[in-house]
Amino acid sequence: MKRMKYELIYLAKPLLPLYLATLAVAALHRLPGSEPTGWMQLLQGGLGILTTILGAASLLLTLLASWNSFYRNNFKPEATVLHSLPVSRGTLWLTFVLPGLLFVTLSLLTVLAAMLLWTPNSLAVSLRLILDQNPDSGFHLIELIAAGAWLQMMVYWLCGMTGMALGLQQHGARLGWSVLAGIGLYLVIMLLMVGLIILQTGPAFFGDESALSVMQLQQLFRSIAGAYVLADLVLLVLGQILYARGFDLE
Amino acid sequence: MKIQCKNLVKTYRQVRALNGLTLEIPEGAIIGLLGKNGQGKSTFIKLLAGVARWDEGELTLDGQQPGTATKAKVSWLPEVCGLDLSWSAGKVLRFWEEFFPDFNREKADALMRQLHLDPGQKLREMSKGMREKLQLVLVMSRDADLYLLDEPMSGVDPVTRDEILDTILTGYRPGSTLLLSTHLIQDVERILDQVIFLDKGKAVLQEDADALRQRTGLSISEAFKRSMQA
Repeated sequence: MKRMKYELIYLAKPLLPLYLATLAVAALHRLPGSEPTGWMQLLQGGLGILTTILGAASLLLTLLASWNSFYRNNFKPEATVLHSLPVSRGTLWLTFVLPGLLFVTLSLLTVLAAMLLWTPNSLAVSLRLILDQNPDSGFHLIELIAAGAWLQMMVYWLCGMTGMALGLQQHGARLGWSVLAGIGLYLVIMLLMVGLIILQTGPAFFGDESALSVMQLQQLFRSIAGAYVLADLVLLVLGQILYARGFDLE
Repeated sequence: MKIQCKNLVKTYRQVRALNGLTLEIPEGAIIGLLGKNGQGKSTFIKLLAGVARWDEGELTLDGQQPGTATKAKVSWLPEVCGLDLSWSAGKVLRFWEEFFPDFNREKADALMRQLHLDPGQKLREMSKGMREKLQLVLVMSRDADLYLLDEPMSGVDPVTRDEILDTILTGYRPGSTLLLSTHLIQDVERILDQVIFLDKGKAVLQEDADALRQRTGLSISEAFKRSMQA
């Protein structure tokens, strides 16, 4: 697990400043006041766009940074250093997965915090609309949506990681195989999710989701969250098994 | 560390890199693994280093299959430089010290001075030859039972080659086994105790270096050329 320290530093160096910048810009958005005019309105608009870009960048670059670290240390010459260490492959897999898990979570928390800083009023209005329907179940629904967002990010990230673990089993064109495998895994999971949604609610959901009550949405999101948990666990374990099996350094 | 392999086969897609390799390498010697390009030298070294898997046959190091446990006793110099170029030489030394319990820091510092390498210099500021020398310092500073050097002198000038050979001799721990693969036979033969000629993934000769010279009346390099032509 000593290697994990290096992975954490590698990810922290570019990502932590990005998260801080996102939060700072989101906070600045409130400076012009609640009803700005003229230049202040323009400034607020610009800060809003910048917050959106930084928030999206926080999510996307976290995935890319984690994938890139795994790619560099297993597909490129740097792999000769990593795999000469007297550390089992199972442990090496964890030294990528645990920091990745941490930073994917941090990126999502950054975006949520940025939203709270940026649009506290409109967010509060939307939340009240859900809560007013049924306060207890409305709050639970919000929790499920947040958990679902986190689990969805995990699926994206783990499809990439497990896709690369699959690609490493090939000889030649490993990156191509990894990308194909990652996309393939993601499509399978999404098809299963669509199937699950149809089973629970019928095709009507895809026509008009507002026709569902808070209770029905809660039930649906609970099922989706459960399915995502299962998908994430399967991807994690599959990736671990494939990686620990070993592969030839090229 | 004693190496034993029997009928070792390794295929990469359609290419049979090792084709029934059978060898027994004793401990306590410097052995040259010699062959033309593409004859299986690097593949064999990677199998010994535990960074590749064989398809058929048996391979053991002191009775153990290459893996996590043997990596603690095997010091491998790969053909390519995998070090992080943003690091300084000093940081790389500290990394090796952290992960390899048998890393001898005093020996490493002495070798760095011998080779005029600056611990404060970043790897991206170093020439290819300097990086080769640094990699060699890392490998030879470990008190390992088996040293695997894969083409340690490829792409470097003749003066640096001599420095590398001297470093190998300085760093070599008596009693351990050192397996050096190269196609630059003329340059290395002065340090070899034993030679193995590889051709098309098989060992065509394994002999004591002095005995080979006496038997054939030729240098190792000439004997190799004749052997490949036969």
